[in-house]
Amino acid sequence: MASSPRSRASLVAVTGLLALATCQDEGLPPCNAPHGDCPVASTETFVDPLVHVGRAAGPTFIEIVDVVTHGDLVLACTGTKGLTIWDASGDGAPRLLSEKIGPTHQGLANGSFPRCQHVSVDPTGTRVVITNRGDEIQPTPWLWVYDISDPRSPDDIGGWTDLSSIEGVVYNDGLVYAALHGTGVLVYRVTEAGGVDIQGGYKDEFSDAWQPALAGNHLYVAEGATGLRIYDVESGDPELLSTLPLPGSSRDVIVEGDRAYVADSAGMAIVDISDPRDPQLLSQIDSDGTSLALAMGADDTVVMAEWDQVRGYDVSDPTAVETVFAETVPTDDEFSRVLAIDADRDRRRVYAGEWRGLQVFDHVSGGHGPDISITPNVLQYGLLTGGESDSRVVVVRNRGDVPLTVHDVVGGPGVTVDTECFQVPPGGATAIEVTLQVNDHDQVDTGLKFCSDDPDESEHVVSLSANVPGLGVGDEVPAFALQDLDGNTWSTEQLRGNIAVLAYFATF
Amino acid sequence: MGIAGAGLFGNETSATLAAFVEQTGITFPVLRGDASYFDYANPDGAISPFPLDVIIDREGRIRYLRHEFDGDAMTSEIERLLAE
Repeated sequence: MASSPRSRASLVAVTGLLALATCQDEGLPPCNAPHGDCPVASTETFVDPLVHVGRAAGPTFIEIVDVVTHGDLVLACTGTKGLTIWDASGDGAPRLLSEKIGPTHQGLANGSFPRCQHVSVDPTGTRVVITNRGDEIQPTPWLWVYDISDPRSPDDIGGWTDLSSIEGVVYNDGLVYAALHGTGVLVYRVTEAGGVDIQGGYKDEFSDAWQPALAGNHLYVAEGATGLRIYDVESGDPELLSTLPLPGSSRDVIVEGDRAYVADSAGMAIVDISDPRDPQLLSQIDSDGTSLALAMGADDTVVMAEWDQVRGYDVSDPTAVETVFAETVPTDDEFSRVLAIDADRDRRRVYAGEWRGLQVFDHVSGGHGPDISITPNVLQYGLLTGGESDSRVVVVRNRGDVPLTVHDVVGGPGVTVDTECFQVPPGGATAIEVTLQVNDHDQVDTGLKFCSDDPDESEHVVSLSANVPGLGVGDEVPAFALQDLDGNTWSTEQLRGNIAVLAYFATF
Repeated sequence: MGIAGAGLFGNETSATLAAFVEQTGITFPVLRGDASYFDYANPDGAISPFPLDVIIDREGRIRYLRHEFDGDAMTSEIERLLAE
């Protein structure tokens, strides 16, 4: 999906400028066996409901921004490799069939960064359409069609550049339903010769079309701050039937039966669409970070791309949604973002596209157990002088369905905690105070390990740092006087007396 | 409440920023920044200067600095500062 203040997806232009993260687990003492006064863990053997199978592509930055499964294939839109096609028929991670699919030879796509942003496969599985929105890296928006009858050697059918800020698409029965932000929605017919006829479109002052989903004669479109819009597209010329405002900014939508599920940046909205002229909000699920993409998985589970996690929600009762899993994707000790997601219900597979690869998970039938989640994952102590100590708090949550037992907490040199073993009930949280004492002014990079009965995160490490070079906690923010988009000047002097949040981000 | 929010971008054009702000529905002030984000420490080992969230207190001191967005941690820090 595209960049946003919280997705901040595309960082290729500045990648590598700063040092990579280091593994803070090195040098930490081993976990002690459960001892004395600590709560006793369950003797049941748990299997996590979401098990990591492997990763295709990566760990080199690839920036997967859209993923679609179709039969034995997985298609992933990437920044550095254009459209990539994978064989997912095997047990492990998918095998690459073809890559760098995009209009590079037309000069429209940058050969070193072809940036395919969205992909849709025709239900026959023989044709695919990919899009690029247009930005500093790829200035010309384009929409391109390929024949993938032979997925090892896709054929260029044709494409168009007379588009404005194209985002998501649906390709069905020769028609392309395109979401074009403020330009609204457009419907194109793709001819056999690779030509195009515009069938119709809809635009008004509230249009902000990001991602469409087609079900029957209705097109459901996630439209930013406007919310969910439903169009009748039977004639090929979209007729707006309804607009349902939703919290946050609507980015993705999937439809299943009489319900639409909308990723709305605040989380997920579940909407009753049995009357498309009068959709009703059934419930709103708040996620911790930003929800960018959704897919329908096995067992009535909606899977969500959520910041650096893959989330699963049981939606069998839309008014009592339960979390099934919430797993942070493995990242080789580097940061990542989950930007795209799809699921193969038959194989019970979940595919998560992130900065550094295509992550593959098994959705295990009957899997359950404790599930540890710790925030923040990094503790900063600013500047400490020799002999000085300071304390921070981490919150340990249990997102699982049975009690989580933490039987030991072990830290690096100078690190102590107020509780070394504890139990967290399902859905509960425990705050732990972490104290760091330093001997001198030297930089400290150490860690704190939580040893628990989480089936796939039995050792969870939180990083601790102090005396890090550069401006840090406790320092005065550097003076600035900058103009906003309306020409007003904002300065550190004006902010004095207020608490201020400065969020640095980029559009690319 | 005494809270101001601002987004500070890198060296990007006004047109790009305006389009981005409209598309994303940002309601807080957006400033075009300079390269000062390179002055910040990188305690969480981020591979890029973006994203970066900084919370400053009423005296202009940095009280929170993360390259990873953590809504819970930011909320609790803001609540702590409001109570001071």
